[in-house]
Amino acid sequence: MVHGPWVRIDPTPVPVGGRIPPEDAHREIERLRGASEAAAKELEAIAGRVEADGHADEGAIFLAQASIARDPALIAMADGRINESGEDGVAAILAAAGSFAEQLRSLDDDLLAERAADVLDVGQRIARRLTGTVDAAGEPLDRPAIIVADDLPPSVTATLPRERILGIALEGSSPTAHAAILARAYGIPAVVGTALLLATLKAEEETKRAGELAINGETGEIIVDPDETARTRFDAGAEDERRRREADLLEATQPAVTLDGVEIALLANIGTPDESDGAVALGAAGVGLFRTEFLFLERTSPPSEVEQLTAYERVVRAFAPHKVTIRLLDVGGDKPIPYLPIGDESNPFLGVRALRLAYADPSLFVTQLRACYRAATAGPLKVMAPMVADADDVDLLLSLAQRARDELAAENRSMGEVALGVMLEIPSSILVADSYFEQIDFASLGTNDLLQYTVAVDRTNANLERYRDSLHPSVLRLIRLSVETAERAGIELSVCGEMAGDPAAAMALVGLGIRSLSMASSSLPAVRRAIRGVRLAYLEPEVTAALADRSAAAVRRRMDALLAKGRLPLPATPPSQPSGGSPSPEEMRATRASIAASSSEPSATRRIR
Amino acid sequence: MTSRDVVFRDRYGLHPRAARRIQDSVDGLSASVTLEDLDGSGASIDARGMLALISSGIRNGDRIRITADGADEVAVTAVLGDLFESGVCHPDVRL
Repeated sequence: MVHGPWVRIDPTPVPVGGRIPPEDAHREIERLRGASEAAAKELEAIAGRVEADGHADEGAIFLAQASIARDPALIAMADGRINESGEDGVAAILAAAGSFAEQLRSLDDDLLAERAADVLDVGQRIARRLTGTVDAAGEPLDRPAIIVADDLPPSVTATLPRERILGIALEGSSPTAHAAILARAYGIPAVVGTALLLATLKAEEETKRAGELAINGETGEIIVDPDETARTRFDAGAEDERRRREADLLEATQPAVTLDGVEIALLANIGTPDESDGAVALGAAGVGLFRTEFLFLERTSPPSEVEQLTAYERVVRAFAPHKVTIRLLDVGGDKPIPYLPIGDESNPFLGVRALRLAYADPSLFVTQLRACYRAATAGPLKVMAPMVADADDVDLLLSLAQRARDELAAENRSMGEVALGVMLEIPSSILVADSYFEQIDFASLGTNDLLQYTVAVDRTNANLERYRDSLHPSVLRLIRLSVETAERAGIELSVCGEMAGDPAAAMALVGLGIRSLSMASSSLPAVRRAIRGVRLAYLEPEVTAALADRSAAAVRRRMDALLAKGRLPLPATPPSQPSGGSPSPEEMRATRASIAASSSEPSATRRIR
Repeated sequence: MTSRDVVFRDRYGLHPRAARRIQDSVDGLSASVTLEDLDGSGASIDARGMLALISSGIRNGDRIRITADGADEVAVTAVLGDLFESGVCHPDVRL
């Protein structure tokens, strides 16, 4: 939460090219030279500023852009267009940059495709120099302010001085957009997708009352020209957030040990390498689930081995000496991928998905496993297969891994040790676990899918809310069976579903014998506090009794009562619903938002229940 | 004319920062210099051109033939060869 003055950043328009008579060609080429040099100098100045701010890597990107602005091949192509096609400098440089960008994209390498955006950026910058358009986005913020814009392109976000950004409010954009991700990474309050924001502020400017803006990044609340009461409320909220963040970071170093001395390993679930630093800061002792789908979605060809290797190594290095658990690709007919042979399926969650794809075409998984074995030279790595139903699937996983190792050995590439395991998310895999556990190193319970497959309820069907709580006795019994089988086989067992991040459910898991929990890193502080306040001697009999309960609601009441007796400290989040449904993250956000909206109290200090 | 074959080492291949480093290392030297990716396309590219470098597709571990021509051609091949073998921007390579 924050309030303060705001500054609007308008997108800089891209100039439109035109034509020139042949006799002006020489002069136009001279102008283009000058504009290219000016753009290069400008980029070097930006690089200097960014580097001085302590971001050497980001600075180097602008130095590379400066080199592109001076590139002889780029200039030569633009010159040629001016001479031969009668285009003016603007049209010629935009076309030349476009042509190089196209060439980079056609190379079928994602890293190079990203460079295409750099080349286009540079072309537009030179074009703006030619027309004398002021580069509004390059203006430095001279005082701390909330940035207001329709959307912020990456090149703008990267160049803004972060210590002077109080907050970000965007009319367009989505929570997954670059600006929003960056804001979260730096702990800057950000609100996106705010209809009418710009029009409202424009009206505000015209009445010459350019007052403050107050934004709450958690609830999406925005107040234009907040009064004294609102400002006080936002100040208090900001102070509370700061204290909470400090407490979370401070507690992150405390061991997750129960009052009777049992240590629980707390790990993070991550979806991209960018989430690593935040998870490490919150005390994650490794990664229990690294979802790799981000590498595979929204593209027309699979990622190369090197691209995967780069991403995996980044995470492994961030967490070393702790272990990182990579989950092999988990997709199916619900999210069609153009380069995967998945036909139309009437029930994609029961169809050819995840590991099952490897029966038809093993190459995708062999490549992924090769990248994993190579990344394991950088630090300890584990790999698990999703959608394993029985021992045959385990044999498939092991043969894919063997093939990856054989190929790498034949090519003389160095590889590291990789522990191989499975996700337990199909009930059959648990019921017959004793038939294959001894072949693998570890297993991890994916409780979201385990619930859906056990009670036959589509996770996305809103009409089946009452079945949506992982504390269902059937799921608890399957978990108990998993724990017993893993103990007999002597393999490691952990939980990486949402259940692990819900303090009440996490306590049930600990009571069932689970000693390793992996969750969204934002849940780590609350679960850590809950573990430090609980005595296993109280938990175990309570959870054993819960196995005989008649419904998930009954189990949830039991766990809530345990919390209410004061034997566990009250978690700050998430609120649990006495009606029995475990709210999805979306629902929890909605709940928090409505509470904040209907209350004059800051939401962060409100304790629910 | 002087040629030298070396292995290009940088964990991320020839990315823009590495390209900038390559340009800087031959700045002030006068010989013309081209690179051939013997494990890639094999096309000959200008080691001073940013766009040529970043679109070369040169990867970690590729064998590169550096060819320089001019008064200080020996110095140019030596400087670039050493830079490539030392791992340009990310020396912590394992092959």
